[in-house]
Parts: sequence; structure tokens; C-alpha cells
Amino acid sequence: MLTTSASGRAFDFSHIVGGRQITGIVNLAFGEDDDVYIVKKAAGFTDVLRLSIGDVPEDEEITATFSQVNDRFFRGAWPACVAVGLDSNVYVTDELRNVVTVFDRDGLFLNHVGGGGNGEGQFDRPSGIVFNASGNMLIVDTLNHRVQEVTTDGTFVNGWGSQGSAEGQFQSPWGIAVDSNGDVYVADHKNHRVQKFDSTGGLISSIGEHGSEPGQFDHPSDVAVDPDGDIYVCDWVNNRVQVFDREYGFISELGGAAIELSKWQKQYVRGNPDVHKARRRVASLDLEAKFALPTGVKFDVARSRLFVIDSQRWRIQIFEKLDGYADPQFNI
Amino acid sequence: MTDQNLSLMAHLMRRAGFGASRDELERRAELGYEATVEELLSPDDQEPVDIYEFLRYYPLWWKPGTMGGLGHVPWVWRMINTNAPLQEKLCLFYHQLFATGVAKVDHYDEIEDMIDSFREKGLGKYKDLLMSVARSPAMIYWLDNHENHADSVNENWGRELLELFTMGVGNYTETDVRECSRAFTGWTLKHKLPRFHMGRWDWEYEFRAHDHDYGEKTFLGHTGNFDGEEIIDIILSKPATAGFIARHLYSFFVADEPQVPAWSVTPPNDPEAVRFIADALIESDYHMGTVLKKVFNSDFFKCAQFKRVKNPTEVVIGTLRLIEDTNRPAPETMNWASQIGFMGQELLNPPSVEGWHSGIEWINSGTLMKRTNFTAQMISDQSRPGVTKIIDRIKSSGSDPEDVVDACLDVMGPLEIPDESRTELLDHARGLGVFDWEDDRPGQGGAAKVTEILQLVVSLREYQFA
Repeated sequence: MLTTSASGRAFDFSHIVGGRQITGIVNLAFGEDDDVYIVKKAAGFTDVLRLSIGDVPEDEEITATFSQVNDRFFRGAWPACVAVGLDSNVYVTDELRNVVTVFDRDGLFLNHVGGGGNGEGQFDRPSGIVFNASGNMLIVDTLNHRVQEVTTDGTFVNGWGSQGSAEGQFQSPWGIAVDSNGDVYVADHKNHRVQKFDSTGGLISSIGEHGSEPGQFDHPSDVAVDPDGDIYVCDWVNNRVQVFDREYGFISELGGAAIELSKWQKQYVRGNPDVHKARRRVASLDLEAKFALPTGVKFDVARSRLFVIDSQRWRIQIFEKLDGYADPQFNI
Repeated sequence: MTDQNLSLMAHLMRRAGFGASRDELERRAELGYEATVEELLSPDDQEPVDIYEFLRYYPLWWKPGTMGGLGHVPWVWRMINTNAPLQEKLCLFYHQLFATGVAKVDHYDEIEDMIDSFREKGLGKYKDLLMSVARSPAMIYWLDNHENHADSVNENWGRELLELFTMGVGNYTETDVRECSRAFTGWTLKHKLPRFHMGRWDWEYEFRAHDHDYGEKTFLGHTGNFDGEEIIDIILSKPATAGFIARHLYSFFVADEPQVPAWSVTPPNDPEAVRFIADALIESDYHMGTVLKKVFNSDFFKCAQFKRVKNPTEVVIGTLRLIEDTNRPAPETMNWASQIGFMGQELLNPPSVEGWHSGIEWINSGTLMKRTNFTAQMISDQSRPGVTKIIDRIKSSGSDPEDVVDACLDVMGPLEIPDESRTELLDHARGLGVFDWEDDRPGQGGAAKVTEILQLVVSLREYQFA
């Protein structure tokens, strides 16, 4: 199914980006124009890349490889999540060094902020990162089970959360998003829910419990909000993205729709006859379309596109969101 | 509680688990021996390990492919963190018994799936395990059953089913091997997507009716149009099978036996105990949980303290569980998993379908060095809460070197060692000077000195035994 439609919305499969070059992709952030920064987290492949992504598969190119700009920098690093600041610099959380590393847009290391610990401005396995309207970073401090707001020079501004399952508490949180009101959404990973806070950390609401039914999650990894207020939850172990309206009404779920290969994958399959033949002897290629442990979901406001980081398939699946969608006649 | 109770509990936990801290042993001794056996046999009552906690930090280990000899790390992490140690110990037992290796299979994840089935079915009926193994993609590829066709029989799986997984050499004929193999023709693999353009995919079992030999077979004196499951039923009806599985259980859980290839010509060290286990297998219709309960509560088991050489997995996992705070996925997790291989047991990659030679064959000049280096390094790491707890207990024994040495031996076992070894330890302890517990200078205080004694204790011959 290439279109997933419900409640006047449609998510039309656009295309995919990726291949062996982005093995281990776990997160991404939008840069200028067609730029997308991705984090790769895999033994021997740890890196941050800048991709140029256009409208069709043939447009994709790797335009910067941060590990080539900073020799050996990624040895001993565990980059987790990425955000682009108002200064166009690239901010990457590092779960092993417990810092946020700052690069310029071409990948040159500038500095890092933070450090290991549980004090203000310190981190224990920082992961999700997003900028708020003030230009500060909201950082998910995973194993301190909290969210911290810090300036780009690392000065602590605010923080909230503690370990637990009560409202407002977290259990190894991961992804984070901010909506147009400044409200903050956190993927409360091991509590299998998403919590929504106001910009100062006051709890507004919560959605989800452990399970695989609509409205239930299994280790959610990320969350995104679009300008309409629709909420996208990356439901990691359930291999899907669930879509809710701003009142948490369930709209639909996406399970992956990649019915064609990326530019790189096509090149690879064409260049390897055994791979080509092995794809032809299976009963169906349907499995190739599905998400496998997606780790991130991001909404491209400029082009109304939903990007799903399909981590274990080394790719990004891109969907176009259409509003005011009416289904065609049933008997057409 | 008595020292005997503690020693016995320590013995149970070394065999049915990976050892236990003194705090845990005391708690369990209060609970009682039989109640602890019951708890160990009820893994579903425990909070399961959340493997996704590991995969979040090591995403490529979801389907690790060949992964440079490290595909077993998620399992190692499970063993470190499990609240149901017997469940993981049984996985290790069955992995030794149904030895399957990545060197040929080339998909760690398929062998991990086998381990998962051992975790799920390990305390159930042996027939269910055999059926699961017979349909395991890893085993099918490992023993070439995908090449076992109605018109072209491949005997590899059929032979090992009889020789290593059920009956043992001497209890069947070459004709039986052939007939057994015919019954498993068509038990094969479904074609899967190739791995290189977007990651790995699961293999799936497939029965191909057109490639199955439906003809009449005569097997172990029975004649009929048997399929694989009926062959397994016939195998399990034979007393030799119970004796063979009983010997495996005895060798893994009770006391070292000669290596498996010698079993057809060398009688068990304790024939009565093996007979007892075999009878339990038959009486329970091969219900492994029922059998293990009888074994752990038997006198021969309780009297078998330190009668087995620890295998490398027991050395590493036992040490890590003892020192505590080792549950966070981190680069050191990789190193710890590698240590098991350095000591001679590369998990998910046994040397052959026969598994690892065990007992005294675990020990050579290289592996012994690896064992002592690893355990000595770990037990002297005072940043670990488990080490701190050990030192705190030793502190309470006083400052006299003799008391300190005895406390070290007690808390690390309890261990009984020859007089000459104790004399060596005492000489070393006396040479360290006063054990001043108030002095916390690194490398000089009482705690630092006691870690030296602990390093010597874990290097003792006696510490290599479970």
C-alpha cells in the first residue's frame, strides 16, 4: 500500500534514501535546503554524514563525511542524535563521552559542551536533542532520566524529570520534539509512552502504554509534531510509526512502504548478479517494504514530508503528507 | 544458618547458575535449598531481561551476521543480567549438546534463534527441543539437511541426531542412519532475501512435500512410512537415549565425565547416578524441569562440590555477576564477551558439532593465564560495588593476616584449599604488613592489600572448579 489515508490526511510514499553507505543510521536532522545530517551508530561505521536529498531517488548524494574531516574523532564516540542550531552548526549528542559535540556544517569539530555526571549541565548517556524557540538545546539525559535545557555554550537553564514511572518521571527516555507552541514531547522509552510538557517542564499529558494495539507502544524511540499538531510516534519494537491528532486521537499507522530501491541499492543489486538473482527467487519482495526497528521520525515542514529512519534497513523512508485528502470512489 | 548450608547453596548456584554473591547466598539459605531449586526452575516468575536495552546501544547486534566473532555479545549481556540463571545455564547446556557454529552457518542471528528456543523450551520436554532443533534453520544449514533430498539422501543430520543428540555410538546401525535421514528429506529452508543491500533477513523452515521420501522405512526394528517426528518418537522410546542424555546432564551439572567420543567405550564415573537420571527421564517422558529438580535435590549432586572444572562462560559471567554494576551496555561488554573466547569457548562458534571438550581440557597454559588474568583484574577493581561488599565483609574479620586470608577464602567460595596453598597465602599476607582498614590510600591501605589476597585466591587451582 503506497498511500495510508485516514481522517482527511494521506501519507503518500515518496521514495527512499540509503544503502550500505549509511549502515547503522539511527537519527537525522534537517539542514539548509536539501541537506540532511544523519548519525550512523555501528561498530566500525560510527559517523555523521551530510546528505543532499532531493525529490527523487537519483538526487541523493553524500556531501560531507565528518570522520574524514576530523581524523579519528569518532573512535571512542557514540553519536546518538543530531540537531541543527540557529547558527547552522551541527550538534550531536555523544552517549559515551557524555557531551554534545558541535561541528560546523561541513563537519569540522568546533567544541563540545557537557560532561559525565548528574549535576546541572552534565549528562549520562545523552540522546535526543532539539532546539527550542529560544535557541537553547533540549537534551534527553537518558540515564539520568531527565530533560535538560542548556544554552549552546553548555550553560544550564532548566531541567525536569527523574527515574520512575509516575507522571512526569522517565525510564531511559530517548527522542524529543518541540511543537509550534513550544510544548515538548518526549519518547519515554522504557515506560512505553510519550509525555508532553510545557516549555518549562510542567506535565501536560501522556499517551501510551505497553502493547501493540493502536495507542500502545513497545519501546518508543522518537516523536515528531507537524504544524497541524499531528503527532508521530516512532514505535520502535512494533516496527511502525503511529499518527495521532493533537488530541491524541489515533489516526493511522505506517509500517513501511518501500516498494522500490534507493539509488545506491539499485546500483548494488545491478552490480551483483547473485544478489539480483536471489531477490528474484523469493516468493515475494513485500518484506523489503517494511520498517525494521525504526529509530527516528522527523517532519520536514518546508515540504510537508515525513522522514522515518528505518535503522535496520539502512535507509530513510520518505512520505509526503497530504491534507484535505478524500479517498477515491470505492468501486472505481 | 550453618556453613554447610552456605556451602551447599553456593554449590547449587554455581551449577544451576553462575554463582552468587555472599548476600544472595545468605538470602537464599534463609529461603531454603528446596525452595531455591523451585525458584530456579520457575524462570517465568522473574522479570525478564530487556534485550532492547542492549540493542539500543548496539543496534547492529539485532542481526549481527558474522560480526567479527562477537555475535554472542547479546547473549553474554543476558547472562550477566538475568534473574533466571538456570534458564541461561540450560541454554549453555543445550548449545554444548546441539553445537552449531557461525563458522559455517554465517548468520549469528540464526544461532541466536536456536538459543532463544532453548530459553523457551529448555525446561520442557526433550522431544519438543528435538523437533525445534530439527526445524531450526541454523541446524538445517549446519548439518546440510537442505541438501537431503528424496532422491539424494544426505546423512549428516540423521547421523548426528543419533550419534550426538540422542543415542550415542553403538546403539544403532548404518542402516538406521540411512533410514533416519530418509525420514527428514524435504525438511529444508525457504529462500530468503539476500543480505547485502539492506541488511539481514531471517531464514525460515519449510517442508517440501515433493522432496520428501514417503516410502517405507525400517528403523531401530520398527517398520513404517515414518516421517521425522515419528523417527524422534522411536528414538525417545529406546533406553539408550535416556542413558545418553542422562550422561550429558550428569557431565554438565554434576561432575566431569570423559569426553563424549569416549562414552561408547568408557563407563560413567557414577553409573548409579546416571541410571537415576535416565530413569527420571523415562518416568517424566523426558520433562527436563522434572529431571533437573530430582538431580539438584539428589545426594549425589549435593556431594559433588568442586567436581567440575568451570567452563569459560562460567568463569567470566560468574565473575561479572560477583563484582556487580556490569549491566550497562558499554564497550567493556565487548571485551568481556571476547574473554570467553580467549579462554577457549567461543560461544555460537563451537569447534565442531561435537561441541567443546570440557573438564580438564578447558585448562592449558594459555587459557589458565587468561582465566587468572581476567578474574584477578576484575576482583581487584574497587570501583565495583560487589568488590566493595566483599572487602567490607573481610574487614569485619579483623586485621590479623590469618583471619584475613580465611575470610577471603570464605567469601570467595567458601573454598577449602590444601595446607601448602594456605601457607603461601599466609606468607604473602604477612608480607603485606598491617591491614589498616582506616588507611584508604590507593595501593597501600587495608582494602588495597586485601585485593592482592583476592587476586591470589582467584588464581588458585580450587577456584577453577565449580
